[in-house]
Amino acid sequence: MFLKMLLTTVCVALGVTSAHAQAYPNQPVRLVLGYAPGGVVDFTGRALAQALTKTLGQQIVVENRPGAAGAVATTFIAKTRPDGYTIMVMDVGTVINPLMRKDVGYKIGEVTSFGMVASAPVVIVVSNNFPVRTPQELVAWGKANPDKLNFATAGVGTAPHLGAEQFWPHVGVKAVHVPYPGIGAAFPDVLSGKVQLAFSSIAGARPFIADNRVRAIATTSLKRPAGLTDIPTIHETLMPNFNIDIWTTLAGPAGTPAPIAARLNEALVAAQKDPEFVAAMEKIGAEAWSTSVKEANDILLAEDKKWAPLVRAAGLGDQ
Amino acid sequence: MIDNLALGFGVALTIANLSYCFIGVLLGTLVGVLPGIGPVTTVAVLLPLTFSLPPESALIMLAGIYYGAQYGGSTTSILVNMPGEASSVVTTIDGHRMARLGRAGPALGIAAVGSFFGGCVATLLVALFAPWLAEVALKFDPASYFSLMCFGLVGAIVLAHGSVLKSIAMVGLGLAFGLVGPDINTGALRFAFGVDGLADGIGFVPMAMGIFGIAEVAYNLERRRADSTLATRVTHVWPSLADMRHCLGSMIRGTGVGSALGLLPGGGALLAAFAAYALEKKVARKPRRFGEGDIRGVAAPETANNAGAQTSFIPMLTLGLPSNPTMAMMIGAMMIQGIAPGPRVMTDRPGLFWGIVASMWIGNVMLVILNLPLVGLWVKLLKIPYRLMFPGIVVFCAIGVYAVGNNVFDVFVMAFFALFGYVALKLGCEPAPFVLAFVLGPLMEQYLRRALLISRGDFGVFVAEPISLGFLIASALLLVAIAAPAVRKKRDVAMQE
Repeated sequence: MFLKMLLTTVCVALGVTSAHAQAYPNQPVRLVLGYAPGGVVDFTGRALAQALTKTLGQQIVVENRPGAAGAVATTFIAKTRPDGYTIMVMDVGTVINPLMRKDVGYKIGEVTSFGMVASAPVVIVVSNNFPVRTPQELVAWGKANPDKLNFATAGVGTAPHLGAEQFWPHVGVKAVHVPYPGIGAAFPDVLSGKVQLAFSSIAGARPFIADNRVRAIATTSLKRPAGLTDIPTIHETLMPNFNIDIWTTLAGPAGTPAPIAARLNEALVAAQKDPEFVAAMEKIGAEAWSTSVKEANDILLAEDKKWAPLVRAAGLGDQ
Repeated sequence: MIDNLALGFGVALTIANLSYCFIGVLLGTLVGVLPGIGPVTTVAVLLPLTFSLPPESALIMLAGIYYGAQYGGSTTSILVNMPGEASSVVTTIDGHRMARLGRAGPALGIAAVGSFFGGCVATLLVALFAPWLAEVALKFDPASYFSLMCFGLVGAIVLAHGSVLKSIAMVGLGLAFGLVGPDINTGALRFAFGVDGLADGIGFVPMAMGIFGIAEVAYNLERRRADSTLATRVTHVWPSLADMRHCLGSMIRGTGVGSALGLLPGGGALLAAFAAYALEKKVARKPRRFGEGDIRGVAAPETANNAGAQTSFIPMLTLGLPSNPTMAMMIGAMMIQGIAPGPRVMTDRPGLFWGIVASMWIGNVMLVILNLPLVGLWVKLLKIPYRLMFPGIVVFCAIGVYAVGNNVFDVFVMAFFALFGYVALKLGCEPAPFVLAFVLGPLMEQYLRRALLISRGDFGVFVAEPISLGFLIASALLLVAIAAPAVRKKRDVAMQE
């Protein structure tokens, strides 16, 4: 193990000068993750690193650089050399950070995607002692009981939170946002009914749904997600085209040469078919999401357009 | 009950599971001793390796890392005044003082014995009462947690053995530094000054290492010759029988306090060690000796720590509620194994539940066997001369702090707090109340604002909930108890004049 690390280090050290001379990739690739070990992005990144090692034919070395909802790592990537040897798994935070913070160290145009990795929908769960069973009943209850509704999320500026900020005005209900540091911390208050509902990741809510300790009343993707096919989506009941995704993408600094981007995309799409990767994604309630390089960058731009007005309207961040 | 435990031991006593348990507690002890790397990182890095194991083995090993780290964490606190985690901060107060007095051996020994005692009794509680105790966790709403933290903060003042006023000042400073970072309700950054490294607030590990470890090195340097050693005379290597008898009461009380607080998923286990210390200081005869190297000041928090570590498995295993990041990761491990943590684990997978409980006993036995012989080795380390030891400490701290987040900024944070800690030491201000306020402040704010969000700004919730009201009354009483002697002393002085 130590020998392997040593060799890798030596290779990285020596390889820098000759990297451009041979076909990409001819040395180990560093995969940066913007969160501490243990979270969903870390888990996705590590599963992807294993699959990519096989399909890219080079060792992928995972490196955690946590901080500021991924902004520390993204800033590092934006300033790194665009040679495809330092890449990152980014998530919604990459788009939302510059919208929330004036002085974040990068602009969205300074990073480029090589393809989407996975997506996971959000599930709306309610406390068992809350008398609501469908999305329509939720809206009716909210209108009949003004200023009574509380909803929990994994924190300010997360995709479930911004999705909720988009949802409530559309259905004409006022609800108070109660943020938690991670959705796990929210469940004591949701179980006891202090907070009637949560916009949760499927992974976070699954054990509680399985035990019938909370009720899932809706999901937020266009298509019903696997495992929750008997639960309606918001798209089909209340708000056509409502689509909140907790997505991840493989990205690097802008200016990465097109052939390298294409090679990474090819390896990524192949890695997404790896049965171990598929199984790993299933365990966190996510699905592999294969796109081309162009599609992925269009998605980043679309996400930026979608969240900017919501962040402003909700008065979030430094404003 | 007996049947259940028999089933559990049947699972835990296979050769494979015994080995995983041993690997877990060994790794836990090691990461507990090393600065920077904590159980969270270790569990996260090992998580992928456990996917291919049977769920029982995976969880037995991960659990071993978690409570093994509680044993290891006391070692650096006692030897070099460096707490790796919030839970071992109070151990530095009397533990390191004992080491300076040449009693590092008994301090380390009693820490291991106390951890063993607390671990065993708390595991028994888990086995006997898990399903009933689990419900306690759900009785705590945000208002109750706020009042509990409030009680903890008042207790932080008791920690200092010097001036109450200086202690209050340090609590205030700790609260102020805890404010750095994003506002929880809006995400706006507070006091980050455009520095990315401050966008999540100040990290606990760099802060604690600077303020305790490096500041201590600087303080020692100015007073001693370079060729001397930390422990000039080592009297005993083991705690004597009299030490043990002296500590029995502290260990029993520590177990009680630790077990109760460990049950609360919203940060109760964090309070365990220093609640136990504060309690000891209040009930003990000759409390003046606390802070001067009193062995009870090591026994109580270390026992409480480990008791809390064991009972924090109750909300995790029975409700699926994590009480700390390590537990959250264990829930992740269970889900990846296809097990939904919750009330049904006990009925659907009795082998898993009782296997983990049984393995905790076995693991605690392994830990005490592993740690007691190490005491001799650690004590020898203190004989290393300063001129070798101090550069070593500084280098290890810098590496450890950098390794946590691969971030150079954290090393600067450590340097800043080293300076801060040194100045505080020179002024006779103790760091423990500062650190506890730093840790509790953000939690308190979080619960306060959450409770007020839910009540739409009505402060009545804090007295309407019986649990919350109870803790607020207790805080007020404790405050009076702290203030009264000081006031009386002043009045006496005034009378004499």
